[in-house]
Amino acid sequence: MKRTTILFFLLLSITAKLFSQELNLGFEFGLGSYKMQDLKEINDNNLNSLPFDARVTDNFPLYYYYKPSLMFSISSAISLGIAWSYHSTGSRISLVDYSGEYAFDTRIRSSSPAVIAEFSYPVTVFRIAFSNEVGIESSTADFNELLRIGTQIEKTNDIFKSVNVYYEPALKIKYPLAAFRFDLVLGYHIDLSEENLSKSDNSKIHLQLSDNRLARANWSGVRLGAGISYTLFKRAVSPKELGK
Amino acid sequence: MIRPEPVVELEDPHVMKLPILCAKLCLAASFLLGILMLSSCEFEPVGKYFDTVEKPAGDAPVNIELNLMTDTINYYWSSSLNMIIDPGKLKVLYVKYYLDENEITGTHTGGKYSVLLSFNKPEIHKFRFTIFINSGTGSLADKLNAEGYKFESRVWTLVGKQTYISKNLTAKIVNNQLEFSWPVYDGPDYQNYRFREVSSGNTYDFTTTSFILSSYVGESGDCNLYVVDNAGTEHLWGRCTLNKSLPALKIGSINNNVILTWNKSIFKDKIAEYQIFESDIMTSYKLIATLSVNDTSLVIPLLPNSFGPLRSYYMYCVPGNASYITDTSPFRSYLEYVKIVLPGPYFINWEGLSASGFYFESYNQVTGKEILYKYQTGTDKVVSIMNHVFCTSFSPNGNYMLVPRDSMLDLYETGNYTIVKSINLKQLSQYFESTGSPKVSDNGICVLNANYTLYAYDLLNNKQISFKRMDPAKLKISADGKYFCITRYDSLLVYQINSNSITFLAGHKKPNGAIWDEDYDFCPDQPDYIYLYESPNLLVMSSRDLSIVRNMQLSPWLFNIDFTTHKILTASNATTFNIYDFYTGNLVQSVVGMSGDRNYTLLNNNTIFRCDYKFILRSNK
Repeated sequence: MKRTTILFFLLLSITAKLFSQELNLGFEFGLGSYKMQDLKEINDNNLNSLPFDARVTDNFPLYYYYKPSLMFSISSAISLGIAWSYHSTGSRISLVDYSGEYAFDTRIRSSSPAVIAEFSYPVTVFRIAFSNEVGIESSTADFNELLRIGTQIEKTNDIFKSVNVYYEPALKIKYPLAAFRFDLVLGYHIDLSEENLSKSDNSKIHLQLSDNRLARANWSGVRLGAGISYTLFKRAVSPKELGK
Repeated sequence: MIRPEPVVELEDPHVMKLPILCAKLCLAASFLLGILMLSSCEFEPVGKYFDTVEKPAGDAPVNIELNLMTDTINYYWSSSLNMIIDPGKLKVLYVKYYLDENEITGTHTGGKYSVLLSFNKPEIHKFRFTIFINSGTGSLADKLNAEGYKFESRVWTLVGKQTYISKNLTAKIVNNQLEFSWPVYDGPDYQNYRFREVSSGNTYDFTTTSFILSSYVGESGDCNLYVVDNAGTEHLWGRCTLNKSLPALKIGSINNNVILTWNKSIFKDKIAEYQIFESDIMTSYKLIATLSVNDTSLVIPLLPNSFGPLRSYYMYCVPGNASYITDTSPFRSYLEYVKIVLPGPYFINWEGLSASGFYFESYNQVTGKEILYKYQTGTDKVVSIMNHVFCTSFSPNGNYMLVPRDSMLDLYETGNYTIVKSINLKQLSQYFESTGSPKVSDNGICVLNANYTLYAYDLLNNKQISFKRMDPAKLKISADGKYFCITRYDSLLVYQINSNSITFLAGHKKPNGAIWDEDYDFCPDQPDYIYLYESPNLLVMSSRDLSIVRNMQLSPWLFNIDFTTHKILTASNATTFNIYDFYTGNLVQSVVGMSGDRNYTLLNNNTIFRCDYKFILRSNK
């Protein structure tokens, strides 16, 4: 955690001192897989404790993520920038029959500001880039339980939150076309710190697992996406800089 | 001069001009707005698992076994309603019980359901119950016990009744056998009847309403009848006490020997034999004879120097069925035994001890009257003299009997118990209501307390002799009517009755403690002498001046003096009587083995009576 924080502020300070040559506004969209092993375990425990035979119909599946970014090219090979990503997934335990319905829904989402350092190299008409993204993800897990017998309905709702630091390396293939660049992205999201989920209105209340561990939101997983960026500004450079 | 470096403007179509820049910014803003909208499209779980269970149809196949078979149930005690519910493959969710529409709590073990119905008093209640059984469909509601079948029972009327335990069990002898019978128990939760002999603990279980106790040979005892419920709990249904029907053992004497006699028992066919046990009080009981059931008497020769027939005899009826004997000791067997020690009159307070016997009063529970009895020495019988007597007193030598009745004083002659004089004491004093404890001499002179005045009265001549103002006190008068004495705690005061006055003669102070009523009196045959017991000394003093004539050291407890034989009955400890001669103070006889009770012991004609028993002194020293 300490190492990650130092790295984050180092990147920020470099970005502030460097003079950019190109300003690109980008948007990345893709699919992410999410580990969420603790929340899956909560589902398993819940399923085993139910007196009836329910099933898990959604179990934290692959789901879309969105990531807008603002990148500064400080040279033809190095770009620095900031990004904000948004992930969500969830699960459901369900049983429906003539007598009623049971559903235990978990919705979890994360909102993550980050800094990016990208190193790219031209290969024919493409550029191959290696991206390093470090950010802070704020997770919100929303648990909803519903039981309906006939016309009688019982609902409960609990919201838990946590804040973690993550690192996401990614390999990008870029294709520039006029003022646009099109990207294909393959990355892996790693949660560097895993803070326990705590209740939104009382941080002393945590989700406890059967082995007495406290549950955490783990967003680790593969990210496969496509992006598009647009060059907003481009600055002229000196011959000396060109000679380089 | 330093010239600035030439700057080459790169030809780039993307170099921004202001309008284009503005357009780009708008594009970027729209772009960001679109992103924000997209970000609201977060994951939403949509999957549903549908279970294709079917709705229940028809009634559930449930069997209920219940111990309430009629609509009206009689209750005699708190009782359990027991029910077995067999729901087959289904499951009983719960059973609700209602007593007078108030829910009461039941219990269950497996398929056995039970609820305790308890009532504080005889009254009528309504009872019903409801059974809920799951549907068995396996649906969500079924698994949550929210779906099922409901059974409503009928409504029972519970009538709380009182048990008449003392009347329910009756015993009578039929064909020389003891037969018990009782009313049918008509309540719920019945398994069987249980008969128990309390003394032996023997129990017999059966379902009929009568029972012949074949082992009964006439013993007394208590029998209880119980209703046993299905849980094995006993509820008392009847109780009776068996009076003793054993051969009545009597004692008599024949040729100076003791003879024990008894009648034949109607149960003799069930008696194996009679066993006679004897104890001389100091030793334990010993078997002295074994007799057949056809014998009706036993002569017991007495040892010549023994202290009278101080024996206790038991006749033990050995039952024919010896298997019922649970203890080898005959005195702890279930069988009652007969105990006989030469019986004497039962008395609490006695008066008028003389050679012919003594008098005593006793309350007769049958008649509800206080009766005056006399024990007659010659015939060894107790006869009743008269009813409704209180505070009767006898003259020192038993010539007269004084019977107070309200304000009347009746003077009886003790020969034939006829009234000689009857005096209305109102003529002495209008305040005279209570007779106190008047005393009469052998010549009819009477002293009595009334209204803080002592009166001396000549009953035979019906005239007042004199009176003297003094506080009330217990009185004793000499046989010749010349003297009377009173006590004031530790002082003995003697007065003389003159022809028209009462004169104080002398006083004597006891050095240690109070003077008790039985510790002093005038000598009946010597009215000029008065005795006073200051334990352990007996003082014989002159009635005129209380000067000491004799001082005899006796045992520490004095019972009384028999002036017909001039013997003093004392006790040295709890088990030994010491008998002294009144004239010499010599120890006449020491009797070991009889515990003395100061208030219940007296000597008469070589006989000691104590608490219903009589002991004859046969060996005088």
